[in-house]
Amino acid sequence: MKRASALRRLVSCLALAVAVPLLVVHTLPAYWVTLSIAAPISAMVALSVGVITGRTGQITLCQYSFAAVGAWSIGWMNVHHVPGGFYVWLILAGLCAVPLGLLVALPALRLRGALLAAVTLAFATAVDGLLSEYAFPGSNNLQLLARPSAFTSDAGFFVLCWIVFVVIAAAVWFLQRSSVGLAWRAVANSERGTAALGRSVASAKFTAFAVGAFVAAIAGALLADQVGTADPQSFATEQSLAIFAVAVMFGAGNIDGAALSGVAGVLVPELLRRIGLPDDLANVLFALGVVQVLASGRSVSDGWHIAAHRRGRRARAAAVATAPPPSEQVAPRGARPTASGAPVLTVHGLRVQFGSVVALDGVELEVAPLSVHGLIGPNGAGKSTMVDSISGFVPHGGTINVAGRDLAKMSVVGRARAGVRRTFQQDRTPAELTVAQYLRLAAGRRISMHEMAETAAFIGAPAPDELIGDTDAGSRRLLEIAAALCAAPRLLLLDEPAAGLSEQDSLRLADRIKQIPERFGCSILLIEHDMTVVSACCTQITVLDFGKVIAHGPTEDVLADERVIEAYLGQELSVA
Amino acid sequence: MRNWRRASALSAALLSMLLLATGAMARSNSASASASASVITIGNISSVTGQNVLPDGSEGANAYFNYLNAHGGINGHKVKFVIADDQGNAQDAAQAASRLVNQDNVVGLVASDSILECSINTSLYSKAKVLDIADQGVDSGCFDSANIGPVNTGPFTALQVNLTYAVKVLHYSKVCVLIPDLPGIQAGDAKAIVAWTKATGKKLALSLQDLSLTGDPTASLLRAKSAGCQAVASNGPAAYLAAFIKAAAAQNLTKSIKFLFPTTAYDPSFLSAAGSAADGAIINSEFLPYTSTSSALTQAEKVFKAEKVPLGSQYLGGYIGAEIFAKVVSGIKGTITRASVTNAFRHMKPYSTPLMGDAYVFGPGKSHNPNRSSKFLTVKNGKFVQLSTSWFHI
Amino acid sequence: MASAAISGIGSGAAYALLAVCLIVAYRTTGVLNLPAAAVGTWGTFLATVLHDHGWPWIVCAAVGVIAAALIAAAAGVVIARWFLVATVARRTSVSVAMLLLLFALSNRAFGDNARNIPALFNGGFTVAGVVVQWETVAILVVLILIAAILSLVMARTRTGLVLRALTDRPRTTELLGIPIGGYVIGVWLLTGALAAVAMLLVAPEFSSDFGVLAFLVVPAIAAALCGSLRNVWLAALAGVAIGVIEGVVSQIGSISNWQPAIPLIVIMAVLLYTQRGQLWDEAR
Repeated sequence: MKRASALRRLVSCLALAVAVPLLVVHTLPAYWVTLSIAAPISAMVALSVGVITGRTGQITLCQYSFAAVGAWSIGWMNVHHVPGGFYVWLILAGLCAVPLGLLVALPALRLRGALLAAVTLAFATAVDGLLSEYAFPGSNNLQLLARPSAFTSDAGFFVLCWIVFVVIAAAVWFLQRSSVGLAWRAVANSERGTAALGRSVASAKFTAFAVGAFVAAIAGALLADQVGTADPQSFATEQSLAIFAVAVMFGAGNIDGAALSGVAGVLVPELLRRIGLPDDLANVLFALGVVQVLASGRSVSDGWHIAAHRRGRRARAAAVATAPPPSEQVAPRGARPTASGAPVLTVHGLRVQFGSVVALDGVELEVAPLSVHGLIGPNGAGKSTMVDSISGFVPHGGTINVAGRDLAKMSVVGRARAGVRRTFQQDRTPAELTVAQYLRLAAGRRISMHEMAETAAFIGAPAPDELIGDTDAGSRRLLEIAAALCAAPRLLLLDEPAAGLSEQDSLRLADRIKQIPERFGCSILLIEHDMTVVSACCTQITVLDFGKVIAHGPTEDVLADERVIEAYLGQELSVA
Repeated sequence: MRNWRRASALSAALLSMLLLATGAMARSNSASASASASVITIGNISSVTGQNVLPDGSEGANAYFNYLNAHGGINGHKVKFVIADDQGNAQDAAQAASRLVNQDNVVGLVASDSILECSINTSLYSKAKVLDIADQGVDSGCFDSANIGPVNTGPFTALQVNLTYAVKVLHYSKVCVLIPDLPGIQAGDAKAIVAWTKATGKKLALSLQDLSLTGDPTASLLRAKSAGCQAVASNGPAAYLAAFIKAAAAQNLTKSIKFLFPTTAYDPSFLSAAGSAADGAIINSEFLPYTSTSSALTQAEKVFKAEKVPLGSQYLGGYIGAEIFAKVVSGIKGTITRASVTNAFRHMKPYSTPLMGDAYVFGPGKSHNPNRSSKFLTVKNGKFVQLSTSWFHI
Repeated sequence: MASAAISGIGSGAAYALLAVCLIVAYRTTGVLNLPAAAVGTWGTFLATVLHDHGWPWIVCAAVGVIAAALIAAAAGVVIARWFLVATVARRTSVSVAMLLLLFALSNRAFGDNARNIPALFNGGFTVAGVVVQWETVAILVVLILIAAILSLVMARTRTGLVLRALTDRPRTTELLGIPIGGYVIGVWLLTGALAAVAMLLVAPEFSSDFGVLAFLVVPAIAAALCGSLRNVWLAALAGVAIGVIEGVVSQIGSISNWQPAIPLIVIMAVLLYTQRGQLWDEAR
């Protein structure tokens, strides 16, 4: 069923790819053919904005500067008669911009939002100035770029630009569905969440900027080739601002949004010209349009995609079978721990200090293999800080060993890949991914749909083809747990998973959590306030108060301990 | 939730309207191409908007053609003058040329005033066998093409003219050049300096050709001062030159150094932007100075007054271009088509007008730069005052 | 070299003043005001249009300031209505849209002829063979005034308290019964007026080109970041330093071509240093 619809989509895309150039070349008059050349070129620049801003959430105001690098590079290659010919030059021109893309990505590792926009704006104005100083290679002695011999006429050149756009769009489309592209989306949503999934935030940003710079540079090279030369005005900062607005407005992260951006860039000025208005008012329309889109929250093409997905979902929901009953066990990577054996987690002398506030003071903790270990205590005791320090978000003193490995020098991503997975109190799941995409991203290994569906059903997370944005908050918390389980971790840190669940759901969750170690071969450190959940699934408990351990041991003993009752449980509570 | 649904419905409707409109427009274009035989369609590409703006030439030509239409047209045919804006960027210049040549089917282009369209469009003009006549060229392609024949001196020759004037007439020995980094103009300027050295045997005391078009020129001006420059020639648009001379005046340099500027500064906006700093500057006029009282300007003044166009150097250049076109084309026997216009210009006799120092001729050559004469003016008390009585020719 | 350095103080003072205005805007609105210089330039150009019709410059300047204030207030209305609790990325995109809008309309409104922007103070005094303009001194004085007033208002008045709460937690502030819409619009009005005052003082020094003036915001941001968007004194110092560096670099033949890249280098150096510890997105 799925394969048939995928095949249908492929055929219709191919049909479109062939039909458009045929229509343009054979039905439009000569002037319109010349005009059309601009459409695939600006569509590519819009696509580059879509990859960096639309998908990865990093604001970029310098895409035409990357295009300028591509244009100037191909001009240079032309003047110096670099061997290889036009097509090789085109690819090389794209590659020339990649180092600059990585350079701009460097501040992106530390900056977000307006600060990053400021850096890209400074880059754009710097390139503006430099383009004026360094004239386009060949322009001084009229050494113009020639169009490739198969595509010299305007109609031919349009076909060339269209082919390049289709090829690049297809490549970007595949990239977006791969784990690289899914990581982009995750980074746009939450960097902490992405790192906790074991995906490097840095490499996601680097790849996004590299791809964006490459695509924009190729567009710039084609732009220069169209007229044989390039002028700084075509790549000015204002153009980068305009394409940013257009790309955000139409959702150029999607291929159809990028195509639409290109078409709009050509049609809107021409329409204005027809009705007697100056065509530079097009930018005014785009500026107003993007504000409207930003206020409404969804770009034009995103709106279509979500509507289509929901229609598809409703159609599929009728046909989908009920989830298979939980059966097989999931094998963890490496040797499977036995119930007796070295502890999975050993925390020794853990100390965390924020300025003058000591959050954790000499905490000792051991989590036995295949067990559920509870961590309780009043608010502010340091429970979440403990999870943050074990998962690597917070620097700490003391040692933390997981399955015999000292985590001291490891980053968040490193620890996640070493088998330490965690959930967050605050929802950090990316709303634009489907459940299946998110589980696959978290797994970081080849995982079958069946296994994902099974894990999701086991814990009570939504079905794999649901869009995360369409699910409720409670389901998303369970989804995070399912995602962590798909990664086959050694140690799972759950931060208040039952918060906000009804009593019935809490008990059901507790029951599932109890089964996890046996089914998935991992141990759990569970932070919870709900004592019924804690007593239902934990075998051992550690109690924190003001950053110090005040009690630890088997569940019943600890819950009956005087000090614990006084500090946390209160006199009224009686443990059944 | 409602918002995006409404937005996407709206955009879908807009998109389909756009596509329908496009189809209708595309079809209607080919229909109008077969226009009535009594209208002569002439094209013009100018940098009306954008970073470096030069719209005045096209306005001057437009004034001439409107006046002409009101007084019988060319041999009874009315002129349709289509001005295309290239916004100062290459892609738009190419599109504008395609529109004029392929869609509007112009018989020729006249009085274009663009900073870069020549080198980009010369191959299109050659393929379409159409001529770009009497434009005010800026980029070097204008003076190096078989299909383009500018009516102005051009920035490179003008630089050579100014430097020659500084040495031959003002008798300065230490002459310097401070030019901003205008894209594509550097090589032409360098060639002009070489030609000047060859012709006069002199060398520049200081040559700075990389000033920033937008930054502060003070530091470079101080270097000119310490190099002992007696005369400094510069180039660039009026706004830049105004800022340049203001910076020089702020450093008290205008008393000791003579500044020579090209025709772009011969404009009221330069005077108002520069204020009192402009006093003493020497400015080149590539055409008959519009501030002079010569009777040769009477007709032009009449036309401009009737069409409500101000009198200025660039406007006059466009006017001259339009006049040349009208006079040559009116001599064509038979129908006025692109082919006959091109033929007429390739075989024309030199056309003399008191508004230019040299006669204009297009001719069959591979490159054209007929105007090599200037008259000089200076600024006194915020007004232009003419210095030369006769044309200075190189 | 010394003369090149001193000549750079003129443009450096301009960057410093704009940087201070940016910090005022940031601390009162929570938004990095990318269109600040563009708004100020709009006010300045409107003033020149009136001046062309013969009005006295002081009157024109006043009208220009009011106009810029109204333009900025319009932006404030849009932000207060739809983007008060939007993510930083979204609000930044809105400010980019505004910058684009101002650019696109400026061409239509003002054409591109050279404009005469009279300086408010003429003449200067000579230092080491270089004439330093009185206008530059005026800029520095205004800068100090603004910085002092800002510190006073933010630290000691109730308005300052409200604004600090507003930029941090708008919805919470609203729940306290404070009419945040009014505050937001009022603050944007003032930042617009301030930007116009700054540009009126600064514009005579530069080419009267809309793009040049609007993108003075880039070195201003570089200077503002040197003060971590909080410390106006550091930012002012950094602004002057950037101007001096530009002047010096423009005279060293081998690297003079790289002058346009100076704000970028400064921004990257400062940000990579001050943000070196912050690994994670604050909000998420």
